[in-house]
Amino acid sequence: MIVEVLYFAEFKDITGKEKEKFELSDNHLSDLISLLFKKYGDNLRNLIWDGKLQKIHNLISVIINNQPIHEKDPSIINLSDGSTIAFLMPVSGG
Amino acid sequence: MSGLENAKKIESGIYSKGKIDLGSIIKSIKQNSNIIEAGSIHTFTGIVRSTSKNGKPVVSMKIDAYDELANESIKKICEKLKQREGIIDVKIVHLKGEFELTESLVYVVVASAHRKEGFKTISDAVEMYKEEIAVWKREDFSNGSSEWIH
Repeated sequence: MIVEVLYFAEFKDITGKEKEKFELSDNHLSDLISLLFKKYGDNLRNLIWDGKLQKIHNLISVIINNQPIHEKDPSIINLSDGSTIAFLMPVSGG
Repeated sequence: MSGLENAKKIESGIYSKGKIDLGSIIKSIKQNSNIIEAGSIHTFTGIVRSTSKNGKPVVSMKIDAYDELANESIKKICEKLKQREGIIDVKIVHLKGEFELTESLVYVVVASAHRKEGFKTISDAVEMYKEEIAVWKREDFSNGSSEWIH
């Protein structure tokens, strides 16, 4: 299945893109995160991943199809074909 | 009302830099059908400052936004504040893009029956958008480095 990742702020700087499509063999967010870490390395991993807790950092908001997801364990977050995913840092309006 | 009837109606939300200025928001808010009940229009303009919070020299700023989420949050803030006694209208316009020093980043405009509730509401609106909307700012420093603020 195909999903799309939207990049904002640091994520846009690291990837050099506003959005990107990925083909997943599995329907869990963990599959997408593995592909992202493989492609963009430690810069992206350090932003998203809490290595101690083996979960998404608490300060990162996961948004799927414009809706916030409160679960931080990506292996139990389901995606479907056409899902749009964003990882957001804490906001800082002007 | 002549001269205002044709003013462009501006919705609160995220816009690219250069698309909107403060004057056009004030003209738009004066189109509100209840504007004759207002005794004051309050405005807040956030601009690019030349120093960061910890004193580093800033030369420019970038604003990024998740438009769909930010627009939704901005509308909720405006609707909530408009429920207050004496508040006629509230508009929040946040710009995005690349900005030079002193350029405007955000406008908040509140029309109120009396000044007291207007001052309070515009202050609350600023605190709310800073906490709640999906917008990020990056300060670019004079030594060539930059930092997203959180």
